[in-house]
Amino acid sequence: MGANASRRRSLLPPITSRSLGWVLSVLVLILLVAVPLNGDDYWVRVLTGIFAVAVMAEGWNIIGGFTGYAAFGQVGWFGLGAYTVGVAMSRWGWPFWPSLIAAGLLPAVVAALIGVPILRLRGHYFAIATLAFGIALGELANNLRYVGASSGISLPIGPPFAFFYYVMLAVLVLAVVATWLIARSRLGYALVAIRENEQAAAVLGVNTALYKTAAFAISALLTGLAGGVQAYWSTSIYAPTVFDITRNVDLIVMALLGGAGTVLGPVVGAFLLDGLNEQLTGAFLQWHAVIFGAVVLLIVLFLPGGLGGLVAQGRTGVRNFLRDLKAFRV
Amino acid sequence: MLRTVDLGAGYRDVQVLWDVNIEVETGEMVAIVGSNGAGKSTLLGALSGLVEIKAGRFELDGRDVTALGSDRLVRLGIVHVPQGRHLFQGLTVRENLLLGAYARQGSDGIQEDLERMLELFPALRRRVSSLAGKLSGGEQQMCAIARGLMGRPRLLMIDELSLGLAPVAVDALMDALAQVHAAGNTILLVEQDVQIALEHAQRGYILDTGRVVLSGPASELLERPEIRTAYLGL
Amino acid sequence: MEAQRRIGDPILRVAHLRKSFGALAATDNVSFELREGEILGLIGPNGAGKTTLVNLLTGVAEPDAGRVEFNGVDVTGWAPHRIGRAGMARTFQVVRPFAGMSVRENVAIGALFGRGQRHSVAAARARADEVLAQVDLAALADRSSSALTLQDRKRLELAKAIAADPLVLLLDEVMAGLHATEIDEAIDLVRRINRGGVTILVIEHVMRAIMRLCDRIVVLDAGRVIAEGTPQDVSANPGVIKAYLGARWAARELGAEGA
Repeated sequence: MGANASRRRSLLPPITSRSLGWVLSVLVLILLVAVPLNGDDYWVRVLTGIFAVAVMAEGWNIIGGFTGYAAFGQVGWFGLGAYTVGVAMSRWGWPFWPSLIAAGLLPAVVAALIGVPILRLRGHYFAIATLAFGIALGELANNLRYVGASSGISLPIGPPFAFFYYVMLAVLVLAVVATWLIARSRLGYALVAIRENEQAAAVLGVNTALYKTAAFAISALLTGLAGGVQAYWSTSIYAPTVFDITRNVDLIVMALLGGAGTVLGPVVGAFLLDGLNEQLTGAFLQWHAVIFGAVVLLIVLFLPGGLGGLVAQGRTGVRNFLRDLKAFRV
Repeated sequence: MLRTVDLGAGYRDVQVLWDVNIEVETGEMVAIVGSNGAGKSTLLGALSGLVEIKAGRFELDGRDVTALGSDRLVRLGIVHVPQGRHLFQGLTVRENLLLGAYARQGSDGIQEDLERMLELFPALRRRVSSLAGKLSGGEQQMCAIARGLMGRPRLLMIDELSLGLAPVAVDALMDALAQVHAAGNTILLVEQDVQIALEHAQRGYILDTGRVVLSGPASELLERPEIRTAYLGL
Repeated sequence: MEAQRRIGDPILRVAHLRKSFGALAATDNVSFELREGEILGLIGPNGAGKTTLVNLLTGVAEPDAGRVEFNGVDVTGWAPHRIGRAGMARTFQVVRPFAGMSVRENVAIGALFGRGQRHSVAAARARADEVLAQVDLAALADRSSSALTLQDRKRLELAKAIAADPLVLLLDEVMAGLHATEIDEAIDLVRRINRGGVTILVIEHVMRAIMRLCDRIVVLDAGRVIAEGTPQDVSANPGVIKAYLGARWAARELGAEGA
């Protein structure tokens, strides 16, 4: 790799240049805010769903992308958040907003607690442990009578869809802003250092256990919030749908496609892939597997940094990518 | 038979060997000595295709073989007995020896050669059906050398024979090696124990920080102060 | 509570340190002192236990017995990041910078979490720039850390450690892979850092470098300390000669001298 071919890869390469990235993001945000005002129910529904997935991908990005600990059980936090709102609103009669706050806090606390033992594991073992834990949460919800067992929970009817659209969008904006703040903070530096060389980070004074757990808890919090909004929006929730384990892989692929470790990458990846899935709902199952499989291959073979990484490398990156693709070079 | 010309070698972006020129004539036993990190193992690795060659070349019988892969080099007769033995731990001694003959064409003579190995290293005969991982250090080294010889090498390269072995075992091994040499084999011996290497070899090279600093007849080298400087820095 | 430090006082005291892996004693009753202001070398043939000892000192491994006292505080069994924070910095043999970051950001990590803990990212980056100037890497501050030559990567490794404002710097085989001129430059740089007030413990294989660089040397073999003293003393020590050149050579050389 020639010295002058290397472009600076900083902690946060959202899009080509900082200011351009911000301008584009704000434009997109304005567009998104305007959608429900057009009265198009279809898009309101579809986009709310995409926002939820984007939050989950962004949440994964904090523990998986920045810290390098690929968690495979994030859907567990989503379901936990959903059930928190479900139980709080239908069993305890809480209003929505406090329930939503609880939906964020409970997963964060649980993540911090199990994080202590689980984050001692690395690589495959960590992935399996988080996957198992996520599945276990789902099984618990599906069998615990207090939370409705296999019948799930019914919540009170909520406001019109536009309300949920904006709340989910707000959670997404929160997730992006949180990621951006983390990336430029001491925590962000520590997480990247842990990802790149955990032992070197430790001897330089980084309390790795503390920071890993913090990242894990933050990712759980954001994911839980999305789950909480989903619950009220859906009005009734069952364990199999809010604890859908196939989504664990989906959200990782989305984050990787957009660029793990970048600020906006996972959101872009989520919009692309989930948007695509929506358009193919008819033949959903077959297409889902084929598309995600193809995307995984694409990323592994040609795009390890995702689209965000490609963009960060500018024209050279695109040229190399196309060249590799043509030569089918692995 | 073997000649390196300004050979440079190393790993990824670390060059360990610089401008190395050595020669091994057919039938000789040549020793390469030097301190840790001097590049001795890297040199053998370069000659057997395991280490990336960054500069220069090496020739076998006048033919440039620098770009050849390990499997080709073995078929040409260059056999490397690596540092630390690297036996197939879960296989028996017999199986290890048979695998040493893997690259040979045809199966003639393999059983005879195996028998000859067991004569050369009587201690192995008793253990021929034991798992290689259960042998003592000295026995493992014998097995490793025997496995190398099973390939009917033109050049046998041995890396750090004495590592981790008691002096008695080292003596026994060097005696066996002397027999191997006397039978007409060409041997390139990399060794940290200067005395034993230069006592048995005919010629030697001293490596220091990746370069050859001295070479000559083994008996003369033994007397040179450069050896001490290469090992101790002063 | 930081002790008053004077040149020559022991800043690191290692007492009867022991560490075994199964039946093998990788570190066997090791005791020595590192004095404020000096450059101490730690050498020994392959397998002598240098790496294990370094891991014990930096908290990467826990000793089975013995004590490590750093700057007057018992740090035995402390986690690596606590020891790093207390002022013991270390470079790694295999130099792997934090690949996702620029050169400056790499060094900023040291400033953010080391002894001289800076709490704002901006202050850490400023400190990083200072340090990069010290090691002659200022021109590469914005470069991706994966695009450097080996020599520059080693300088970066050094810079990361210095940015933490350490009291003691452990250099783990920093000369490996460098050729003669680069080794000279490295020796100069290490001396400069030492004169700037950092006590240095150098673990090395490249004997020439160690002999030129160090004030004193400790020699390990098979997990034990077999010699301690100036470079001259150590290279004339019979035990050391035996460890490096073999018993037979030692016998010959010493026999010839009629010792």
